[in-house]
Amino acid sequence: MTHNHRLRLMVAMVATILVIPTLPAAAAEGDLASYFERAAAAEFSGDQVLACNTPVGLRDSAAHLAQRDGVLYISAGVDGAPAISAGAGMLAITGPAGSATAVQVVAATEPPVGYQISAAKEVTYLQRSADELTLTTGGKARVRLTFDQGTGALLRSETLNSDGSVYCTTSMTSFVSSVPKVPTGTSVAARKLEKDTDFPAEVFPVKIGTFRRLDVYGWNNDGEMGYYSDGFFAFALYHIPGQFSVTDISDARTWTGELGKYSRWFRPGTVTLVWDTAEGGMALHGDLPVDIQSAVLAGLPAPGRPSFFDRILSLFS
Amino acid sequence: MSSERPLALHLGEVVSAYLDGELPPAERRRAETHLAGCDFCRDDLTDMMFVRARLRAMPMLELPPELRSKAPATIPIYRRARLLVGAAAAAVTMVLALAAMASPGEVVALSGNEFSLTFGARASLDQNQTGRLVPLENLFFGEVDSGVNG
Repeated sequence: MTHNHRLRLMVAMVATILVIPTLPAAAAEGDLASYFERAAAAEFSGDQVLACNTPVGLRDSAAHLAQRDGVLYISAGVDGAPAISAGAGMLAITGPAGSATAVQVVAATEPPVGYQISAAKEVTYLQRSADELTLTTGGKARVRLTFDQGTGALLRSETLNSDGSVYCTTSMTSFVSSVPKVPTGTSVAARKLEKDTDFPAEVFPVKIGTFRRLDVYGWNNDGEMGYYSDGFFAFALYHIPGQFSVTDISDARTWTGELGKYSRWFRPGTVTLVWDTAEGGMALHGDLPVDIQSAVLAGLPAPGRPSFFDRILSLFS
Repeated sequence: MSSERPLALHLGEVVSAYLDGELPPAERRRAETHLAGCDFCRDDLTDMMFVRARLRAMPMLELPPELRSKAPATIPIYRRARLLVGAAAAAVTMVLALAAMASPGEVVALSGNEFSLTFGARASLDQNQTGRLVPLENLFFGEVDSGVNG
């Protein structure tokens, strides 16, 4: 190496050392956790619109939100009555006639974080200063989040398809940053889900693609529910020894995937798939974009009813 | 073989006993005297001898070991056939009973929000889900009239 070459190399190294700190640093995963932590503690109210571009058309809805003391109250705006309250492992639906159903999860583990987080970009949303973060996985941007700088509340969330197009958008259309009035005195007897350790391992794999099984609960007497997350998207997987019937779901449609036929329907923000397997009835319910649905199904038991002899053999296994 | 057959004047069941050698000497002589003068009973005797000869000509079948120890080795084939039919019927009954026990199980009819409730409750523990918990069912929400809902 000549003297000139050495000199150039040293200049390049010094320049690199000087330039690196000036590049916009990607936010650490811990930073994202702190954003979510602030969002969960934020106190606000406002209207929210949710719209999803599904393979069977647009699925959208609007609701009024109020969040206080870690509980999110969601209502359709009819008489101002709360329809749903959620938080800390509890979700309750209060019907118009006072009827209520609720579920409480009594055990859980922290989800993994499998995304790279971009540096925060300052934006204005609803005339408020906000931070926009992009979550990338597998080299593709899959999520854009906009957090209010003042309260920390999540103002807008966009989930993206693998080609970069928008799958779902959840946007606040009005926002009030004050402590909201929330209903009190509504006590609902919650049905508790307890962790289940005796579940069929072939039905609930530890990993499905980039998704990890976080926990499994007893569900519907002799069934189970497993909860999976990849750090942002999540789904619950249900299994029963018998079969699911979808005859009451008017918009359930047969969809043919790589492994066979499924019943599928979309709601704003969620997709549900139901199918029979040799191990029993299965269902998947979550917020997965379409390409991720297919990837997840490829790692699960294929559609197909158990044969006569499968059922006989199952008695002795 | 004659198509006419007067009743009560012929040997009837005695023909079988005659062939089996089960008749006492006096009865046997009477049967032989009758057969000598009765075409109907000679025809019966001939038919019965023919059937027995065919049965004896059929191959002997091996019984399953578990049955062999309990069954006399010299059971005629037509009695063995009855045993086999009985065993087959018992096996079919057992298979049907097992099939009934191994039925596909309970059918859970879905109405829509069973999954949302449990998924939503679990998701509400995840910080990254908080704040973007999605509406559970349109029943509880005002649906936007976008005109393209499919």
